[in-house]
Amino acid sequence: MPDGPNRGGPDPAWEPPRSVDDQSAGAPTMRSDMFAGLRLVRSAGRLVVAAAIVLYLLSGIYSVQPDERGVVKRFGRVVADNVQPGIHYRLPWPIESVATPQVTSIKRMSVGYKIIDQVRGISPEPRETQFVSGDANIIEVQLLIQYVIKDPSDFLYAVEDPHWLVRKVGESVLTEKLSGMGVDEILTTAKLEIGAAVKERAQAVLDKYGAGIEIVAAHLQEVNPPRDVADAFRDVASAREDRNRIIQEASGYANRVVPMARGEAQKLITAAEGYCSEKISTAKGDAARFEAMLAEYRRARAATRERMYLEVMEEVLARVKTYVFDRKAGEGKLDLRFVTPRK
Amino acid sequence: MDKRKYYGAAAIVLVVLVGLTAVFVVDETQVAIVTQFGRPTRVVDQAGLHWKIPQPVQAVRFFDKRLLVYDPKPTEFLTNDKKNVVADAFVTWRIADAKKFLETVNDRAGAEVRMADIVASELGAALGKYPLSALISTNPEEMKVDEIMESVTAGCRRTASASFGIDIAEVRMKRLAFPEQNKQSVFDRMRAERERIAKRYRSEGEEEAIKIRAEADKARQEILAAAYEDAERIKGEGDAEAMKIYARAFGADPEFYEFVRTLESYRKFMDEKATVILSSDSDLLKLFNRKGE
Repeated sequence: MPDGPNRGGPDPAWEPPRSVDDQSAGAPTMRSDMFAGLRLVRSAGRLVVAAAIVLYLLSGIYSVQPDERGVVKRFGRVVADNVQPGIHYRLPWPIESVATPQVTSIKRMSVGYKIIDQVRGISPEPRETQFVSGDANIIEVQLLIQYVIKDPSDFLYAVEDPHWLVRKVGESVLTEKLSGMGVDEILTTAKLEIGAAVKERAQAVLDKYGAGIEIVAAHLQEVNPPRDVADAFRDVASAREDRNRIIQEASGYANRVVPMARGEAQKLITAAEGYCSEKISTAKGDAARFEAMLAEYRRARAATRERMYLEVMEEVLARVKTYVFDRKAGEGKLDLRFVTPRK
Repeated sequence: MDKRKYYGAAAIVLVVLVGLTAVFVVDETQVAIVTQFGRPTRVVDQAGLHWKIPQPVQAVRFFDKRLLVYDPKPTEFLTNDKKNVVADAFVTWRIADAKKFLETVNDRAGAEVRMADIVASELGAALGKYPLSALISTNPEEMKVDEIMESVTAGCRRTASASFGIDIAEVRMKRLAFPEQNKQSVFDRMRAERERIAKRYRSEGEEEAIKIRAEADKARQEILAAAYEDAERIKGEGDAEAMKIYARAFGADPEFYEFVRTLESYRKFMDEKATVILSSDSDLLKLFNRKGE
């Protein structure tokens, strides 16, 4: 370049920006213009070279965003594995290169389905989503693993494709966990437990591989029986409801019958108490009357007696039909045929 | 003079080009093998800038030294108790001896072909020794997955390391499944099991309900019986008290009581329907006869 021929120009001020086209076009006239242009060309060429060198050196400037960490390699070898966010300098290509993985952002990996399918609303294929439970049932499970990069250098260079390794490891520990559990347990109570177990075991395996990954969470998103037997599973759920309902109804009966019996019992006792006090009161009344009469009677026994007798007879005989027969006249038998009953 | 200059420039370019083939960069993820006329001479596993004799004397082959994942196709196996199961395993491995690797399998595709055979035969042999309940069971004591996979890993590692310079880190069971043709019978079994459980829930409900109703009825009868007992006792007490009162009052003059009570009885039982036949010499009528005396 510095020796590059140029036909030169009348105005040296705008000569340097003239580009390759001018140079190649000017080549045939090199010899004739050599004396005129040589010095200019040289100084212009130097400027270009200097600019190129400066630009080249400046190409080593790079920035690490707040959610990133930088890993710098010199001729393929890691020389800095945890460059903090900010503006930094490295030697230009091909000497040094930099990779800036995002370490704080949470990455997601699915097991039993594809995230892209879920976004599009496509349900996963049976062989993708079906697992086997410990009691040899087939069950459809979808798990989401969230992870962050723990060690940028390990994440980038220790394992081939760590993102997909997360799925494979997650799937294997999920399979292991599910194949030790009953289907009812999986479907109802153990969702959190399964997620926690997957997280813990998958982390241990990934650590063993030195993948530079930290699992933040593993959630069971969907746990369902396969479509072919879904109705049978639903019927179990409704049977469970039926059981509760039948028991509720019986409890309702018990809650009605027992208080009613208590009410009736109270009624019986209250009635008995009424009877009791009535009896006593009656007795007291009768006794009081008798005692009063007796007091009178004791003052004049015969007269009172006679009076009482006659009073009663008066009252009684006024009511009843009375026949009188003469004992002296009809000594012996008494013919009752004339005694006709009252109408 | 010009010609010499051109020759010189050409010589410099040639030297630079040849010199460039004397330099090679080994990445952090790679291991390099320098071959001399095609024969491996040395292994470079340090990342960085390295030298060799320029082309065409020495050339370089690069291999991945990261932990690699190989995921063979799911395969159907027979367990010890003659149950068919589809096992899907994956292998994590790395190139341990690049020279041997290059000499025996040449590249990754070649390695995977060999590993497929090794893993399939080791898995088949291991699964054939255990019943299905070693793979899937609700009883933790029967579960032998770790043991099985450890023996598979050990077997694969032995073969792969000795023959191909491959270090097998682990063979992991990724998925277990029933063969496609057995699925319908699995579903039938699941359905029958669900029906049984549903039936059990419902009859449990009936049982519990009958118990609750019987308890309630029993409680009702007990309450009523106790109330009857109390009521009768209270009544008895009333009667006894009343009798005591009567006895005390009437005992003062039994003869008068009898008289009063008799009169009371007359008043009660002689109603409009009664007919009385009196003898003329009865007490009541004795005065009637006085005229005749």
